[in-house]
Amino acid sequence: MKPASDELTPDGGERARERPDLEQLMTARTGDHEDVIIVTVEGEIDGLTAPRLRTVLAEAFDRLDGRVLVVDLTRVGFLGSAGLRTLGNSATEAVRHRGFQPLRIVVDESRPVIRPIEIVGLDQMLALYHTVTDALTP
Amino acid sequence: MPPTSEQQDEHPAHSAQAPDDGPATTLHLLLPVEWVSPSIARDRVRHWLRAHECSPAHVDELVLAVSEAVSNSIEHGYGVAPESAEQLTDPPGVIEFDAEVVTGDDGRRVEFTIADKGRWLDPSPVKGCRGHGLTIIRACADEVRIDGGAGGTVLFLRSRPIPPPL
Repeated sequence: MKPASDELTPDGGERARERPDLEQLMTARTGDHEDVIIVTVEGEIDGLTAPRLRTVLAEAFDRLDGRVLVVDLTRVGFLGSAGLRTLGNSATEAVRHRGFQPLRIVVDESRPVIRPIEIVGLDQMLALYHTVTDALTP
Repeated sequence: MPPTSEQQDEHPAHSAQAPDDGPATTLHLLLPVEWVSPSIARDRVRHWLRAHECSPAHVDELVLAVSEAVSNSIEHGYGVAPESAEQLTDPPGVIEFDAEVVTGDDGRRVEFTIADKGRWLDPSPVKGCRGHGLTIIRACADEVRIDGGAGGTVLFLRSRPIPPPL
């Protein structure tokens, strides 16, 4: 596996798919690697944008094919209950499907993201990592 | 001792008019019932609280609570599911949003009132999607009151004391 950069610059073998959005409130970019799919989310996840994140994650699940799914939230500035619901449902889906590994969520110390996760207890359910590199370390 | 100058007057007659008086102590918004409104509320409240030099931790917490309160009104008050975000062409109503900085004996706090014409205060709260929103709102506030009636639902939120800037 090629090491992931914390800078999240798509280079080398990474195929980054830009997903321009209507509101510019959130972007979700999917990067395909040999052993992992990394979904990088930027912006704000609320009731307006969560449906789009759900679609992106569902598409990633569809072609995961045994790979690990990492969701990088280090550039997310807001995470509300709609986003928590999306992450929780995706984590549940990952566990239910045979052969899926647990969804790996990357969050740094960013309070707007970690605080709501802790308030609703989602930290007990999600596999949380501080960096993408950590999330890729077996 | 010199007499109190105008600049040192603790009770200015017209707050928030002259630049010297600082940011407005109240914030009033009329938000359409559609899914872009929580982000509008977040943006306005974030700037307003920063103008009052609230700490980043307080700003984040109150922005989160406010966003959840507005989202509650949209989703449960008016029954607009997040899935319908992009199709909505005719918002079914308006959410009245008010905020005020109040200073009492125990310090400075911010009070929010979010009123809608919907009925989302269910007498038998079901553990489910609604639970997260209220759980978050309560975790971010010192006091939360929800008053529901035939005419609509009003959510009142009082923050914890917010230390004034140094």
